[in-house]
Amino acid sequence: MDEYAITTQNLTKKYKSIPVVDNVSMNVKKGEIYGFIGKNGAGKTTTIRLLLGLTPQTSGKYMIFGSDTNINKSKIGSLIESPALYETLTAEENLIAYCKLLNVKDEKKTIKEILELVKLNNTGKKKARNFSLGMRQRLGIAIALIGNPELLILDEPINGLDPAGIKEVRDLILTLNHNKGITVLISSHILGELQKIATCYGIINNGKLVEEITSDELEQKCKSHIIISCSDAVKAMETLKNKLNLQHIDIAPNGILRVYDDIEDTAIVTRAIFEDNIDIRLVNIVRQDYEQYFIQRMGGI
Amino acid sequence: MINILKSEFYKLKKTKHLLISIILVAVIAVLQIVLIEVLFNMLASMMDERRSQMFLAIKDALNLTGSGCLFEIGENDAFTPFVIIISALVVTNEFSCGSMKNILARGISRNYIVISKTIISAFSAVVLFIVYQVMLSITATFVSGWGDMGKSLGQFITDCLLVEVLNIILVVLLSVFASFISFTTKRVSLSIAIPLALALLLPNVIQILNSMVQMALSWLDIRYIWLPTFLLTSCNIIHTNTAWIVGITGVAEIILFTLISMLIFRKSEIK
Repeated sequence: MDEYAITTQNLTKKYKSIPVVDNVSMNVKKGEIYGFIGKNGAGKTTTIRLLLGLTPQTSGKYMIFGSDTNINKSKIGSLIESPALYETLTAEENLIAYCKLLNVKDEKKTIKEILELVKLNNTGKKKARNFSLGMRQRLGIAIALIGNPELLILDEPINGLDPAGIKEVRDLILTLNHNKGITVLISSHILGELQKIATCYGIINNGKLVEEITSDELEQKCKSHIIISCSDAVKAMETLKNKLNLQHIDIAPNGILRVYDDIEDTAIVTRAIFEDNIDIRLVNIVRQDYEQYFIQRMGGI
Repeated sequence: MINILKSEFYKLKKTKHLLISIILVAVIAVLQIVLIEVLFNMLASMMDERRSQMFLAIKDALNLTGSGCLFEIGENDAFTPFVIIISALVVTNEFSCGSMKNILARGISRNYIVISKTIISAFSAVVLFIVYQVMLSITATFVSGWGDMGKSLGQFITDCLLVEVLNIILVVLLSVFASFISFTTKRVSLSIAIPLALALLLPNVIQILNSMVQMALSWLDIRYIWLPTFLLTSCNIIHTNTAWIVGITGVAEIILFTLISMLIFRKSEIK
């Protein structure tokens, strides 16, 4: 259990008996960048709010670093939707307020380091209300970094940013993960961006966690594969496993057999199935990109 | 608790809400005395001898001297809005900029948040009150002189302290009441409008209700349930030595509203 930064067990949140988060059981390993993917309104933010204790769960439980009762929340940094800044204060003053709140020793040194890390060390007396969206987002992350958090929970941190701003935030997250070993849970519906940094994904749709998948498994699933439409998909799958010793086969919800193993010649596959008296209607080689995969798992467009 | 208070005092200092309010309150205190003086003198000079004497008598009855101002007790329509505004800003600013969720996400107790915000609001209210009262008294001394204390210096200081303690309990109550509304509504506009309307209307409503209640139950005086109306009914408290009852009522109301705020905020969803 200690290898996990976050684990949830059947976490559920209902508003007036309507489940917004429905029996979510997710596992975020320490040191991971966990991409939390879902459409708008899928339940990402509510799940995050539950994890941060901003709203009580209806049922189920969650554990942070193996603890469900005495959670040390000072070790969790968060940025939920838009960055919450004191608009009339400068970047440094915003950080000082949080340093005092969290009783950070060596306030000046900590603030200097964090401002350099998020590249806001040259903002001087500029008030937060005059910051660009990218600067606001980085200051939001800077606030989350106060108190040396071991876990960073970022909800839609790249929303509304221009490409340069997105890259800045992405690089910052990677730096924090690689250099400081901070576990990151990042939610977004911008799939292309998550794909560049996440090491594991949780896909949520209509409040339900549809799938948890590592980036390696995703890579495997999205590489070229053979689709076969036949009279008995279950029997065909057994045949391929037994005769050709194939390991990565599954049956799609529409009954199509999918073969992900590396095969040089599709004829070998069709011959093996045919020999077991299974009628083949269609054989094709397809490649699914990540976006397609996620969209399909998120319930389509 | 100490950490959150440190953070709150830092924000109070940096946001400058209190500083601006202090300046405005000081200006209003000065203007209040100067305008009354100018207005009465102008009216008196325009009237015939008899009416002029009447205006000057009214002015004397107001006792707007340096010492007289220190004995004003109860709500003040010019000053009360500042107490309410500053309390509303101290609390609702966290909701409007979204920082309340940051504070809660770091595991800070909701009760501590309510208590610290209430302390900051009360502190601001007391600072504003002291500035207002000092400026009022200094200006009145300049304009109309210190006035006749009518008692020994020791007795004057004792009575004066008693009045000011009751006044401070009253402004703290108003700030706690405004904080309670702010924690309930979480919106700055409502947090100013509702307490302001209640602070101005409630005493009149209670007076009217009291008249109706006393027709049926002559022994029941509901004016004692709300400190501002209690103070109105006890203008001679200093002489009757019942000031401590008024003080305890005020402190009880302060504690009550703080507890209700804690209860409401404990159940509250933070957006």
